[in-house]
Amino acid sequence: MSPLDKKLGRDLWRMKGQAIAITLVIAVGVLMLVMMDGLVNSLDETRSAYYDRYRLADVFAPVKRAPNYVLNDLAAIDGVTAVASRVVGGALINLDNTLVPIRAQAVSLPRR
Amino acid sequence: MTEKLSLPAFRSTGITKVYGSGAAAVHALRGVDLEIPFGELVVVLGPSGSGKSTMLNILGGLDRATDGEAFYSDLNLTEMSDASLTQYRRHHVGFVFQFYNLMPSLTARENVELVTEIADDPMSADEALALVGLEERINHFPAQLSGGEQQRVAIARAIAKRPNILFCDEPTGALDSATGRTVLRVLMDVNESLGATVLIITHAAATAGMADRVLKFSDGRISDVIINKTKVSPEEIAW
Repeated sequence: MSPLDKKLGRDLWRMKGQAIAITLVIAVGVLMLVMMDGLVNSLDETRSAYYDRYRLADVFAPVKRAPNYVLNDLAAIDGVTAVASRVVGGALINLDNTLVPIRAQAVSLPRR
Repeated sequence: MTEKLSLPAFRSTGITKVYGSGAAAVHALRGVDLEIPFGELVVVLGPSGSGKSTMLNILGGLDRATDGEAFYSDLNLTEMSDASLTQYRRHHVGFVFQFYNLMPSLTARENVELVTEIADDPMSADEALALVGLEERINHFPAQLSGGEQQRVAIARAIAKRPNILFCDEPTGALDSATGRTVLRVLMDVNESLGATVLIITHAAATAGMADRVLKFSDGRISDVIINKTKVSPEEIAW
């Protein structure tokens, strides 16, 4: 064994406490990185699956008082496969079992 | 010894070394001419700042002169590339400094093996340590050795590659006089048994007695060269 290898080994042994602590910190850091990466991927996939299952749009484009023929312009944009319109409005409503009015959002449904 | 013995070990003409520039320029050497034959033990004397170490650094290939020429045998040290100077230091030169620069986590033998690993035709670490009288201490760590013993390990490390030249910059500077004499004895033995040219820089003027040649530096120049017809042994030196 080369004297430099012996020196490395002895120096590491002499500072073994520090070396173990540094190794543990790095190991925990790598562990956290792998866990968080898996979590983010999982949430991404869950969101995509949920949107797919409930047919949610990829893009919502709120506009004020737009005429219905704007839909044709939007449908003509490259990459747009389907366009649907809704009318959305807000209101305060009173329910029997609540003391204060509740803010509500009304969304129209397409004609069947 | 494979050197061209017809040539001196070292010769220099007009060596100048200037640190800094303009008003802040410091002239460490002001035109040094010298000639040192192979196989001599040379003692370099002079006060602090007189240029001794600077000259040693230039001859040892550790530094470059600002002007002038310095030769080792037929090698022009002032024109060599950094890589060539590294090869020169590796194959021809050993260094011993005031502070021993030993690796604290390696034993005496392992400290010497650091050099024998990369040298072309080294002696064994045990042989080098025996030459400096430390055959009983080969497995000791530097912390288990006295200052004089550590310096002898440093000398063993320097001579293990069988250098033609051994530069010693204040080798006894950190030692008491008795231990210093032991170290000087080792250096004289290295000079006589290995035939290495040994240059010793020192403040201790009494050391001059053991030299073949004494170079006295003053204010960046060699002020005097003394050739000793009879040398005294290191044991007779007192400082």
